[in-house]
Amino acid sequence: MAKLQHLQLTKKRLRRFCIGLGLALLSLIHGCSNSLIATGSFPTPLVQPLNASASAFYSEELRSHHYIEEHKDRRKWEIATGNIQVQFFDTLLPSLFKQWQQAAIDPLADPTTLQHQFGDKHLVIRPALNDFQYSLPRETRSKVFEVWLKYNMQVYKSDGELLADWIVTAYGKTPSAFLKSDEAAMNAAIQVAFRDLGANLSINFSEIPELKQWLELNDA
Amino acid sequence: MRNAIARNISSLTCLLLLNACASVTIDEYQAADATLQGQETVVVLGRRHSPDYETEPDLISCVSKMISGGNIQVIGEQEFVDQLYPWFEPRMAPMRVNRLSLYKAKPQVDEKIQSMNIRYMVWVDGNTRTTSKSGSIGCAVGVGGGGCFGFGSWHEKSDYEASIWDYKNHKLMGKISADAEGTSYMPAVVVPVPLLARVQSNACKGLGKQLRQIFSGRE
Repeated sequence: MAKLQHLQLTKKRLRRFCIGLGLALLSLIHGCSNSLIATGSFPTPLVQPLNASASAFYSEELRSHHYIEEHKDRRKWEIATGNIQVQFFDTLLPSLFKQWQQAAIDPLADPTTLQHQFGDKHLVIRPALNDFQYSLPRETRSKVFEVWLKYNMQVYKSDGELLADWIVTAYGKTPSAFLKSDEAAMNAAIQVAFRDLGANLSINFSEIPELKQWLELNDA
Repeated sequence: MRNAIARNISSLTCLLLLNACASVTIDEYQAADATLQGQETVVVLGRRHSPDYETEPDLISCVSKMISGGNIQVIGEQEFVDQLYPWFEPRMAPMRVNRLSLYKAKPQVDEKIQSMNIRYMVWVDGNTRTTSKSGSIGCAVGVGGGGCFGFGSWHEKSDYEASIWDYKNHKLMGKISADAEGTSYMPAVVVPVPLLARVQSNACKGLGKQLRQIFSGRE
């Protein structure tokens, strides 16, 4: 009888130990990888809109952008930025122009439709994310995450001719990582980076030489 | 038995209520009177242009709360920065008071600032950092239970400087610096007991109190 009770007690302890070990292993595995769908909301810039008609085209590559960390020495991160990119440009770009058209026509693929629909005095903005980089608190020995963005901004005329092509970079870091999960802190850094990008574009957009010249010619 | 448990709980509570000490030094320079008239408001902003550090948003929030009240209305930092986007983002924010004239020259920016009745902008620059750490705490969990044992301490230092800008006259009205430091302790006997020096909080209180005195015109 005593032997049977001892056996049952041992089984209970073993079961508890196995559950505890399983949970510990699960948390270890979870801690080795991070996954994030970046989201954010952005304020409308307080700038004088340009006297022109424009629309934007976002490639499938931009819409479905998914960063996957492949470096062996780094923790595995998977960051989906397609949604936040579209959200950001949909907030920023319309505020830069007096007339904004919601038309997703690719100036490279279909210039005829573009010209037919909007005439000659229309521009199409085509942003492309060239590079996405980040650093983690463990790498920088600070509490914050840092994100760098590099965009290739292209502006096309309605006949499909490339008018302006330039590179713009942006930087963001987590304002405060206190009591935040890794994913929330990374998302905060990405939002700050996009805000920086918006500041850069909204102030300097009209100063791009080719654009400035085109605006002056078409304003006359 | 019950008395022993009650004694232990009250000792633990007393320990938790004890804060480790922090010292604060406040310096003030005031060029002119900066009291608020009528519906004029103040905004407290943090400097975030440096790659090495940035002024913590929770310190800015703390200073704003310390100043506001009575006839002093404070506009929240995030609300102000969003309404004036992108002119007060880190890459665009004015670094010198005479740059405010550029904002006056932009009608849409000036109108927005005027609509918020902003009279004074308080720029806070600095941060709180841990300068040293020592000790160690080890924790273990087993089938029968778990706990921690050890002792840890860390020293923190805060350096902040607040500059008061008059938006209406493009003038620097004054500067206040707050330096604070303190050591926090964490003894652990089964349960870790934090004894925090609250360095950043003390720096905030020092800055906030001085700013409130300046804006309310009391010495």
